[in-house]
Amino acid sequence: MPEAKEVFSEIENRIKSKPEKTAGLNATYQFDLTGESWTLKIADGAATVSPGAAQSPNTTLIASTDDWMNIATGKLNPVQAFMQQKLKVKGDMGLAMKLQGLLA
Amino acid sequence: MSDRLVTDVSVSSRPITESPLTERQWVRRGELLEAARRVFERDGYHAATVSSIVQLAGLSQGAFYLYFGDKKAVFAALQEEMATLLRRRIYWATRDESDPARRLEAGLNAYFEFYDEYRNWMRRLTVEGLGIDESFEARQVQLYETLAGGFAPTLGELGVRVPAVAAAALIGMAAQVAYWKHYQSQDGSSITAATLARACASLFLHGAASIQASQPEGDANA
Repeated sequence: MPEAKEVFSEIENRIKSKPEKTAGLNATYQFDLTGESWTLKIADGAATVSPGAAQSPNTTLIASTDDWMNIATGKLNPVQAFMQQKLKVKGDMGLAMKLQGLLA
Repeated sequence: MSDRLVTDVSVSSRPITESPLTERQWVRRGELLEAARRVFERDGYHAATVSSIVQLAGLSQGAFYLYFGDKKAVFAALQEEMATLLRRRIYWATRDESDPARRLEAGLNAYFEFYDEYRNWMRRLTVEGLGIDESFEARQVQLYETLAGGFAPTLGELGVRVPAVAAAALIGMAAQVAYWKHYQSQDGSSITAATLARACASLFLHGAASIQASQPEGDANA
């Protein structure tokens, strides 16, 4: 199982390599996992990932680190995770759903 | 970073540029997809009906048609969703494995684990999916090509001279072995994904004589 840092790094790299996937998207995501937070900022095809909470995230995704990693690595369907309350979303739900297409 | 078995795994049935669903719509669509998968697994594609899907989901027929045009459309969406999950699993199972032989085994293991988890869906897809129409076959061909294209560099590292052909054969072998385990062998279900992956990697790289008698466990005729 990879670490959360690798998953976020992968998302960052994917956005950089395929900026057309996020063209026109400007958003700040915060991920609250077990004992750690991460911030993903996307602006016009560029992405930056950093550890820690964001100042004013558009969307905050809350999950245990294990559940998040299972979602990111294809072992847990994101919609099922949401329905089972393993994944909670605060803020702009539309942005959260767009993230699904950015997972490796 | 090692070569990766699957390099593009971002396919989703809903392109990111589409109008976003609301939270309620996202959940409703997910409920319908999950119910549809269970109905297709239980009844098969041809016997499945929109009525049985919405009944299992606890939703109305009207709700179904907000998201899918017909039974074929929901099957196609499921085909893409499941393919995305499979690609994603293989990708993450292999991306950091530097040794090509172990990477090959890890990729096969991820495939067999996925098949174990979704055996009924994979069976329906194999038996019925390709016969629905050409678009279903095209999606399945695309998935196989993506998987084979991901395995080919690893096979090249292992000294295989025509990696593209070998990778296509590898995917075909894995699909058939998984089907055999679940639907043809009387006691194949006791074989773990890891054991099957090890046996298949060995078979593929070193020939059938290389498979140890103890693997796959539980079936000496494997």
